[in-house]
Amino acid sequence: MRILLIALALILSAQVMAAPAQEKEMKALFAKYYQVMEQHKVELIDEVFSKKFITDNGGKEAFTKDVKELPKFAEKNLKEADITFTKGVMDEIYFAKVKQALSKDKTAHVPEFIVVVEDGKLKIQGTLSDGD
Amino acid sequence: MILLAILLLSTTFSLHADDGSFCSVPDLSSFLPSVNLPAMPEEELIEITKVNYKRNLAASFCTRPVDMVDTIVIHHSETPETNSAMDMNAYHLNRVSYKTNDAGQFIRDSLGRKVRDPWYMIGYSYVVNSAYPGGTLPKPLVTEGRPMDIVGSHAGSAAVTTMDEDQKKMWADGKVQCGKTGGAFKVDPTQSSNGNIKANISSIGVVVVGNYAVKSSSNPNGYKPSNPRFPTLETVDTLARLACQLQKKYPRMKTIKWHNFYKPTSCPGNLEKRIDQIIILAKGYGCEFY
Repeated sequence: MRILLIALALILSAQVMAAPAQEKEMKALFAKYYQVMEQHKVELIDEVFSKKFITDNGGKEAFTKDVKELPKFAEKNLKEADITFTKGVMDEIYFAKVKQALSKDKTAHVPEFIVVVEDGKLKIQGTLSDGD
Repeated sequence: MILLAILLLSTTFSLHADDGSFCSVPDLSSFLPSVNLPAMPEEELIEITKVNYKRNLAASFCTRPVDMVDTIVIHHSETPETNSAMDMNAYHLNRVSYKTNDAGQFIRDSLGRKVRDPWYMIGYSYVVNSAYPGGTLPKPLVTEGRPMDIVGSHAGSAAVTTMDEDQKKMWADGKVQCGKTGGAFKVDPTQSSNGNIKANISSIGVVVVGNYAVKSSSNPNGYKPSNPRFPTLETVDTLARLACQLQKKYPRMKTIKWHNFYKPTSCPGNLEKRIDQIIILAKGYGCEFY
């Protein structure tokens, strides 16, 4: 009984510790994401996006060109994004809703990002229409 | 001690990620390949493929008489154009919404956490795969999604709309019921109030796979600002034929709307600018939409 209780406590502790760590990793991912998309730090593309995303967007070179077409904003305009995310019910996948308060993107919608785990790291795989 | 640990864990998760790991989902049936439809009657305007989707049998869903449906809501998937209906189902099976009341506010449990609502299956009733301009998909392909008699997940769970007299009667007669596979189904009073009803109950979602909104930091898969993407005439015609075919089968279906009619979203991108064209083309096939 005592062993069972200790095992349960260990499992619960691990999960309790995991959630904030995951949240921290998610925030770090989206901080880099906005650096790519709004400051054109294209050297971060491989760290931010999944291989599938890059392929779907015509490869790294093509995506880099696309990013450089987007408006570029000064770093001081970027604030930490407000992120809420859920883990996939069946797979190792996350859906992250991200509000970027000072983003110049004026579409009122809050995008829902698909985040996957690739080589042990969170990577963005794109967005999904945010209906429910 | 166990209770204390569980309480601590629950509180922690309510402060951080809404982690799906608590949701126990049985091992469900595997994806099955497409099945061929029987020969199509001549009067039908478009071929619709049926597939057997994997479903989350632990998720709740609502059933409705198909006569509750009077509106088609057009979406884009925001995903790459090459995604299939099965891909969309795989995404949606992983999704979780949160239950809202008839005022659109989140329902919370005794610990103050939002009540989770895992998705039953793909949220759209029809999936249209049609190539981008200059694209190479073989032809428009329409695939049936969530069955018409099961309320979809697409317009926005907080979106409500008014009911006409027929819909009010169906609602009052308890024809819309919610539950889980193998369990009892009953009326869920949070789905309607003051003559309004959740928009998902009186509509179906039709999604065009692809991304018709401009690339930005909130839409990394979008088209380049210098090269706007609009649906081809073939795509628009496919939507018109599908809408008309549905109206011939379900005459109460008279309205075509689009996702951001119901909530602030970039969906369906430039497809929204083609709604009038869909309605005009549908008229050419003998259907009347507004």
